[in-house]
Amino acid sequence: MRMTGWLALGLGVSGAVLFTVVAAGATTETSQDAAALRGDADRGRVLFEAYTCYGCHGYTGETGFGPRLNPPRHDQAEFVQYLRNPRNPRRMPPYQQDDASDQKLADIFAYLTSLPSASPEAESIPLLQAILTGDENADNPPH
Amino acid sequence: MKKSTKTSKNHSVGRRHFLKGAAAGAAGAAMLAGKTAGASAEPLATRRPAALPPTEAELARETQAVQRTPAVESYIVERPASDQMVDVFRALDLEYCASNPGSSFEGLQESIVNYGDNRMPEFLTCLHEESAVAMAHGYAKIEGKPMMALLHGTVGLQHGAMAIYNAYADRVPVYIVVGLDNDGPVAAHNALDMAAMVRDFVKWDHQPESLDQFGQSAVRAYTLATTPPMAPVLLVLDARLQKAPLDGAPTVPTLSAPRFPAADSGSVKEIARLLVAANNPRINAGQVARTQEGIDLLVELAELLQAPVNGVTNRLNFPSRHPLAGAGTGQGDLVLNLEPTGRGAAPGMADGTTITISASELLVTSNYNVRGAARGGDIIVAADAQATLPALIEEVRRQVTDDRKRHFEERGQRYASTHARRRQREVADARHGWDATPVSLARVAAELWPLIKDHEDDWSFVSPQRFLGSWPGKLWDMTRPHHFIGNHGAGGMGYGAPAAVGAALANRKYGRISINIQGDGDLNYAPGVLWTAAHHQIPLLTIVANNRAYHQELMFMQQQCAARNRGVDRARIGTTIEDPNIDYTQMAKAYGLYAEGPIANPNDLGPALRRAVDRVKAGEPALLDVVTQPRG
Repeated sequence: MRMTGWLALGLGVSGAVLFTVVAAGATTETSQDAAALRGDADRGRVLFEAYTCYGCHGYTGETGFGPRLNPPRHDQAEFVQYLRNPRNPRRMPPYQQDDASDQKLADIFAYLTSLPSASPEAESIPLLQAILTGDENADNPPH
Repeated sequence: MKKSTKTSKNHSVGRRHFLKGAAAGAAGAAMLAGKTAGASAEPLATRRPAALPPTEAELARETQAVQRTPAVESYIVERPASDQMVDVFRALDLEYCASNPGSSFEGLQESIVNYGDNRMPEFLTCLHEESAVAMAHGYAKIEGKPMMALLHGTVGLQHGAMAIYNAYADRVPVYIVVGLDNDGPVAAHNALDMAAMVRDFVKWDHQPESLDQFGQSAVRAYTLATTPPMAPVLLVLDARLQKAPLDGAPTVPTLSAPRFPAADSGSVKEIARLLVAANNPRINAGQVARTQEGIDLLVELAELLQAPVNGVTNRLNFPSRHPLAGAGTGQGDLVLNLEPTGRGAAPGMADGTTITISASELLVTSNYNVRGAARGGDIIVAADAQATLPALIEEVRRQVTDDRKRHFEERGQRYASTHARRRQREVADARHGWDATPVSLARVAAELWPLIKDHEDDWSFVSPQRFLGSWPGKLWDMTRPHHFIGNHGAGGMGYGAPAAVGAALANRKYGRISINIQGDGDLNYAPGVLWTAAHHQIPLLTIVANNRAYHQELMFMQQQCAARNRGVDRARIGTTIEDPNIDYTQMAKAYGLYAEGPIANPNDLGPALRRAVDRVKAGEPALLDVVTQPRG
């Protein structure tokens, strides 16, 4: 069952200790709980899809229009802060407490932290090196 | 190899002639045996296998030895007016007629397949009118001339309307013929003004009332469709006119080659002056190059000015690996828009002089504003850009001084360095998610490239690339017009698959291998075109970029949910294509194609691509279902 926005917001604020964090060039307030919560990577994987994070960041956080999330470039507090108040909400939708709790965001962060890299260095991919040098060979394509 | 679906009367004996010959042979054999044919008392039905010579009654009927009754005499029209229509279409060099059958043009269809021997035009069986029009759209982008799309009255035209709109917005000529049968059995197929429903997005339409008028209209329609700004045209052909007896021998009207409107000399001089004086100009090419000559001219102008060219937008206008390809560097002070198709300013342009040369200025309708708001400009010239380039090059060459040449060379070196760095970065970016499951779109393009680049008769990328992260344009060496034929036109989904089949059909005669990286959402609008590709043996590699969603819409819905703070987790409702997942391999096989998939492991991709490419090189269509990351 969903809570209405004002009710959820009220509950969230009343139980929170506020502190200041600097993220993505902006100085705003967020919940101290967000930094302290321990995330669950399995739950985070499900949430990563449910909240359609993969839509702009790819299923492994390494492709798409959005910034690369794998490996995470921020700590958990900065991550939560940015999701609450993204710099450009028309590109990165804001995820509010009443929809995506701090625990859920901690779970997503845990999932991103757990992901292995699927992005080898370009120098180790013969196909890409061949494209750069124009040495592609149709009879024996590099792999 | 499948047998050809074409039948040629030139290489076969017509049934009537065959029967005459068979009768003569039977009579001769009987004489040798001392009997007359049919003299046996044995009942014919029990004695004769079907393959034996015909009976006298059959012979008489087939050789018209019997007198027709008045009813039959009035029924048979051996020389209908639609034969003349076929002659005219042939004179217009209309190779194909893409169509889904309809009673309102049955007269014309009969003439195409019998009188015209199903050649020039050849009837292409489509399973949806939208596919027929979109095939013609794709064909024209390769061949540079129209294909006929033959549509059933009213309902068929309604089916085809979205595809007509796409072609109109894309400035592509399509020769549309619509049947009209107001005497037909379905009242709902009648119309007083058949073309009215699409008149806002065809360049010209006409409903001829006589065969002579048809000839004039048919030629005029072709001329208008192929004169910039090119666009679809539409002829409505009344069934009564199609079926009327041909009276006399009407002449086929002469087609004069269309002339392309170039900019006036005063405008050319002024534009050249501004270009030579600019310190950091940009050339923004939308769909300038209709031919290789167009690309060569743009290269000549860019090199003369050492100006960067944004040239892989809605066509391949400029070689993708040319050192001047791209947006240059620094703040631009002049942009030359050539047949622009997008909105907004060119990359790197905050202000400065804006010049636009566009034939689209000559085709503006008050209802559908397909090219966006008028692009603000200091100079807007209503003319064809490719046709204007020779005079503009000449004028720039005349005005440029040695001082300016030195300045051009200096900035050209800067642009070349910028281009090289950008290219290096773009190729390196393809590593992201290289080993990910599902497969990254960059990897699809990178794995495919070495398999097609050296094909002896060249290759052709026949699908849009906007939803693919533009990876083909970033990774492949595009130099010729058929290496990239641009986008949907009006953004109407359902364009991709049929336009690719039409383009592949045009590529077939040149031996090119055609590549369609196909969105799954788009494919589901009218997937029956895969059967058309199989039936007509059109070699085309379709790689389904299967992200199991209308992904653009999913992202829009995600934004909307967030903007209202009511739960982003419901953005998937109505935007994903899951549960169950669609099995595109089985779909393609059902339509008669070679197919593999779903492929989600990137290590399986290369071998599967190689097998599919081999099939296409052998002349057949093939499909790979590749489960991909949502975006590039």
